[in-house]
Amino acid sequence: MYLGWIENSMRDFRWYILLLLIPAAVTAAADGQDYIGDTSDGSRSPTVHILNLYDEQGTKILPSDEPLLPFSLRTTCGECHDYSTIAGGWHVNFNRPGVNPGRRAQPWIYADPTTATQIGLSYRNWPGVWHPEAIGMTPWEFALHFGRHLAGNLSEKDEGEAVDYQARWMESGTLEINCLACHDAEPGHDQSEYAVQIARENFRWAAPATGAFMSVKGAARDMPDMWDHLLGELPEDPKKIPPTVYYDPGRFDHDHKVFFDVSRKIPNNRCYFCHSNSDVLTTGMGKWTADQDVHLTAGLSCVDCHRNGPDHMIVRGYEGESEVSANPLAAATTCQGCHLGDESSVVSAKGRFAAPKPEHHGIPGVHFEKLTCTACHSGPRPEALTQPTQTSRAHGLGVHGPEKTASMLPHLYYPVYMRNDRGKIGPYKIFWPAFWGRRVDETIEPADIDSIRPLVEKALKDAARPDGEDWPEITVEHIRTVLGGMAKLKGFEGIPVYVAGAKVYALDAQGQVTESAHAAAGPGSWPIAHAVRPAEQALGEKSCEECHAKDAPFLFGAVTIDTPVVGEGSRTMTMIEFQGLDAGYMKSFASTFAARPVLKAVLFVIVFAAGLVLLLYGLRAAGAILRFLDPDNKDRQEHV
Amino acid sequence: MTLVQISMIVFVMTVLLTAVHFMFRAPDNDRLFGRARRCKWLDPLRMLILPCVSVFPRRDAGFAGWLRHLLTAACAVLFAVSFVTAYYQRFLEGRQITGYFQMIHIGSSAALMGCLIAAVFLSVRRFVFAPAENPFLRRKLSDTGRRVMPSRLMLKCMFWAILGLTLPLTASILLSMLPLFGTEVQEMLILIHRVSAMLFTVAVILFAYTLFCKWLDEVISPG
Repeated sequence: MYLGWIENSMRDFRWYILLLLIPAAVTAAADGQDYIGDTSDGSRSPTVHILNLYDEQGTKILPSDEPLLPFSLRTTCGECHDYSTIAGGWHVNFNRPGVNPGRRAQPWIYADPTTATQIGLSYRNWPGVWHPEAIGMTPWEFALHFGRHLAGNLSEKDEGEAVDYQARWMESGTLEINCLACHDAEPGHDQSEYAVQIARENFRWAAPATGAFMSVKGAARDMPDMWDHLLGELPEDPKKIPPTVYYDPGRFDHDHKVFFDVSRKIPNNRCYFCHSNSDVLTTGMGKWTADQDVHLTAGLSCVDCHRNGPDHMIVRGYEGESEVSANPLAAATTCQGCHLGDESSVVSAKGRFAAPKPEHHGIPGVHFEKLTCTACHSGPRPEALTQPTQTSRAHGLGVHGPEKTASMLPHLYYPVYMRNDRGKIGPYKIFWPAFWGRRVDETIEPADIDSIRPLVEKALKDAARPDGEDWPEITVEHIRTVLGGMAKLKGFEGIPVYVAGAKVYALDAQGQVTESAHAAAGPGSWPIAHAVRPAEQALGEKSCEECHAKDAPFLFGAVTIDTPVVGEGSRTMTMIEFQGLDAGYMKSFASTFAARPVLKAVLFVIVFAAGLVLLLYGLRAAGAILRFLDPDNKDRQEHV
Repeated sequence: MTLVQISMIVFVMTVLLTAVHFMFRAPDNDRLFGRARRCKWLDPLRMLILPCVSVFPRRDAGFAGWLRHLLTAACAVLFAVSFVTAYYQRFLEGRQITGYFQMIHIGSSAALMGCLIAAVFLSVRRFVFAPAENPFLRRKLSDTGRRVMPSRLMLKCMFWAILGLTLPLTASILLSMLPLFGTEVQEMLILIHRVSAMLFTVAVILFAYTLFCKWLDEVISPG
């Protein structure tokens, strides 16, 4: 308690010093000045960034400094760009209160094989995901777990009033917004190094370490508590190296400035680090067989569509985004916006980037009312059984070091065709939550993971583990043991439950494990937007029966229910259960497609016959009228 | 104003107009049902049953007559089914035709068109206009010959209207089922189908009403 008070006081003291040392360029934001980097004279030529490097305190870094400090993006980039405005951008505003979360997207998935846990977390209020606090995860722990793919903007201030005594913000530094993660166009940029530095708790060194002209050795993780990087003190253990930055002296010019190859036109490869997907079964870890998005093939880049202004509120590009986003391009930057035009858009969108107008020959218009464009054009084609997939953010793809097996947690499956918030059906990636929690009345919430970890790990000690990164094989007996132990935990409130595989396991009065259904056991999901397939590869391009057949995967494909519970692993659900459609009707409707050729033939005969009768009698009537009107026709009175 | 609203107004107006017309021209119930009938308060019910009775052919009708009546009855039933399935969801639920209604509509309307064309082939000769039936020609020729009953002229007009509307009604759906046209043309075809269906319905109501009136006249004044 006493030590904690000293620690907090020291931290506060450091903040006061930092505030005093912030350079004038940064304080310009408070004066409401326009930053030179955030305004434009209209020239389309890129700005060359030859910059001074500043450390956290705003002091210019010279290559001869001893000790050499990592440059701070807040002070270096903040000299010309409004850092506080950028901090409100979509990639870094995840923990800001009051930000409209918009359409649900991929959450951070906490996966822990030792406790058989797989749960979606996000600071954004999306359905099916939990706030990190729900499992007792502090911002410090969040940064350690997911910082590898965060764009930064986490610091001790985000801890709020709660004190995390495990946090080492003082030693690690804050996780500043990592501008280089997106804007560094230099081929030598290594974003994987960022993950390495996060794992070493080198938060203040992480972003500079990714640059091509510097490297970082050592780990703040190995440094003792209260270690101060400014003092340059060495640990007693000579094997432990304090974080040290090395700059390429050749990159400094005569004025000790450095050329940054940063670009407003973000290279696709920068986006791919966090936004890659891997099809586990078809392409596996190799990517040479995978095709990229048709838009990229056509020559566009990610940021041609996903644009933003100085506020960095990037366009996400989904239908309805303009209702929650102030980005003037939001309405124009949807599939419909570019390919068909959107009347609500403030910019002329139709045909942007030479977007072809889709013809959709022979497709009834009702499809466009009930399906998203991505339903037919995005992600893999549906198969009889959903396929496993991995993503950068969920599996750390692109990060050096950890072995990424096909069976490693979290287990994601796709494509699952579900109904979105606007009532349209589109493709989704899903995962099945598995967590130990509590039930209070009808509400289920996860338990603090650290408080139950010893109990769960002990109970699951004898559970078979075919693969260390995969699920342990949990039996009902294991569940009974853990739930029984949780009920006896001091301060545990509610009924202990285990959520897994779309089921909620609890103990009845006799101590037997019971199963029930609950919304909390439903899958976490997010829509698939990419990779977009061209018209020739769209779903339904071959025939209507691709979707309208009794066994069409789009409607009747099996969705894997993932669970660590032994004996439950082979369960599936049908795709149509996620779509709110009547399976009986859809099968009946599908059966009518066999009779469609006959129907078309009948209609053709009807049209032909009706046309023939009309033609024959029309000609006959015309002849009769002409004869009748002929003044030389002496017989016309006889007709009367 | 949407097409759905226009359709509703057109249908209500058509039914109202025929109802008003029938009120003025309807024969006396005593003539129609006989003076000696019991329970006169059942006359409205009798009036409702009459159109069903009118479907049956005369005793002396030949095979063609029976077939024609059979097809007419089938057309009436199929039209009713097609009408309900087409407009129930649009009028009462405010949504597009979908689900089992759509499936039934597709089946019944295809059968309706088939029966209709068969009936047309059997009776087209009876609905050919004679020059004397054309009021314009009659005026032009200062004709003083035998006048044609307006109901007969109406019947013929509606017959050809029905046949004429069958073409866009069916062709629009046939073309939309083929992979020939893009979204905009598809939407136009659906619009053509809907407008044709509205006019077709009006024509069918007027045709059926005129046919019923003609039958009534024949029942009351045989020969």
